[in-house]
Amino acid sequence: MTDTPLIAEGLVLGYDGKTVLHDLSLRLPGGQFTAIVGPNACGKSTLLRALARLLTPHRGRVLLHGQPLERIAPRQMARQVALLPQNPIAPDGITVRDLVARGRYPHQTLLRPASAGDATAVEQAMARLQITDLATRRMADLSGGQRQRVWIAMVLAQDTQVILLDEPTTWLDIAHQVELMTLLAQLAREGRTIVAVLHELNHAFRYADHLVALRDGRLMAEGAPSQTVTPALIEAVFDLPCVITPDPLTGAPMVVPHA
Amino acid sequence: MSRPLPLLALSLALPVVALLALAQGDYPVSLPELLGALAGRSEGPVHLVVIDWRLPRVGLALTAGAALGLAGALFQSITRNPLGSPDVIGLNAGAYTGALLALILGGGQVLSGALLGGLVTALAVYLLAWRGGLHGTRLVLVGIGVSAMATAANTWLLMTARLEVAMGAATWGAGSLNGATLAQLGPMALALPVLALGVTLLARPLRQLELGDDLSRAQGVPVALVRLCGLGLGVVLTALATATAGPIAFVALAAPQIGRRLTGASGAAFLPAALTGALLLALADLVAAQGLPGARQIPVGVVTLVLGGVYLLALLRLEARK
Ligand SMILES: Nc1ncnc2c1ncn2[C@@H]1O[C@H](COP(=O)(O)OP(=O)(O)OP(=O)(O)O)[C@@H](O)[C@H]1O
Ligand SMILES: [Mg+2]
Repeated sequence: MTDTPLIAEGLVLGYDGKTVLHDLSLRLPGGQFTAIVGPNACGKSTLLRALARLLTPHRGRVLLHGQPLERIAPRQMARQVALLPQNPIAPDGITVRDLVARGRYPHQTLLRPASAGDATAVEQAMARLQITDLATRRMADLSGGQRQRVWIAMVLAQDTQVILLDEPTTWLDIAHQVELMTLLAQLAREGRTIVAVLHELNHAFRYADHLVALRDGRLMAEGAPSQTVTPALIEAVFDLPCVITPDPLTGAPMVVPHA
Repeated sequence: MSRPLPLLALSLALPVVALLALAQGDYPVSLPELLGALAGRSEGPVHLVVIDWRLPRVGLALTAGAALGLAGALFQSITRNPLGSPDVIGLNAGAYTGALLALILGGGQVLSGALLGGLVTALAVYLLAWRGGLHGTRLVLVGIGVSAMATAANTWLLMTARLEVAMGAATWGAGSLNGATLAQLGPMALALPVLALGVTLLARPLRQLELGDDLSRAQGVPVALVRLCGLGLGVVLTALATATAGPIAFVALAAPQIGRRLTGASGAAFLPAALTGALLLALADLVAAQGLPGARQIPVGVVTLVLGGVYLLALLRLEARK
């Protein structure tokens, strides 16, 4: 896959007069795993929301397969692009399977509420996140990490080509984080376009094919981690003096902070 | 997935309670007589008691209860708050203000006064709570404030009114189905199915909305439109019930929650809410119609108010344990 499903061109946007993203242009390569990194409040969630058309840019535009987002019908959009926001809400009393099934919404209509295909997609998504044995449990009774995996399964069940994830590894222990990274890399290899906001830099550098580094709503670097990550970049983005050494297993860049 | 069995039990309980309410009272009617009357094969006192007196009352209790249950489910779903029901956020108090003004100032158009009062209050709460978007908790808090102000205004209006007017207004304000007529049942029976159909059409996106604005929009839900339609339906359903039966507390608050827990549904469950609302109000009115020793008939609103207190305590205990 060499096409570029999502392109941001000169995005300027923000909230109530305050500009958060300043003239941001990006190309998110298809069939690859892109990691967005940057300090808190630099505009990562804002960018993801713009890519999912939840925010209208003041200037610039986002193209999905060459088409401006505002020209795409909501349902068509939802069949192509899925978003997991930073703080989703679970309805009262909902069970795991019911919540994962909510991801099928854009594939259903009033007259065709749920099909066998929907059920299959739900079961497959739960199997991939290894939560099948939680299927009948209530969300309220799960641990934070279990809940997070349910949300990711819901997004997977939506079965879109592009998947946008805002900090999907929050709440996960190290083993589950690694598992999720592997899953995201694998989904990309299957041809999906994965874009995830990540705070764990070493995971981002090791598993992602493409890196986007932001600071104060500006693009600091874009490209393959092995070619973009330098001590100077990390210092410029995070104000963190560090050395970069190759990861002993894969050779991917690894950040070791000073002091 | 809601469990089908409790849903079936709820639907079966409705006709049982209805038949009980039709048969019971100062003039008891036997089951064969009752069924005969309902089939249109009765005359004289049985016809008078069953068809003219009790049927409108039972019918109104069921339909107004269902309307309140639906309205409660709509508001609670949109505010994402189990306290976000129309009676809590001031629609009842506002409808009462409208009715009082109509009684005191004008020719006693209680119904249109109540309708108008409810709509104006809803609009006021909506505008006061709006800040570039609608936030559930803010709507509930603003609603409670508006409700308190309307209640204060109501007390003042009652004190300034002439005695007969005040007495009549207080009776209406307690929420009562005493003296319900077939003429009242008609509009309700016509409007409820239409509104219920609206809720049915809106149910899927409304339930999806409970996942949060961002997620549901990303899944293709036209959030603002769905929310506006849902609020509109909820306001009209509340106004309809209030205009016919007076401001009845608790049913809209509790029916959605009880219905959801009974049927094991998740989030807003509209059918269980409607069935539970109908059952609750019919049961409460059964108690109200029997009266208490020393009070031959009590307004159904008083019964639901007592139930509401008990319910709120139970809810608080349940939430506290979480
Ligand atoms: N709904 C909103 N209204 C007003 N300002 C907002 C809103 N959401 C975010 N902001 C502001 O926009 C800026 C960027 O926020 P954003 O959520 O995109 O940061 P982020 O990079 O995702 O941070 P984090 O790593 O903490 O999640 C912040 O200064 C924030 O205060
Ligand atoms: Mg964020």
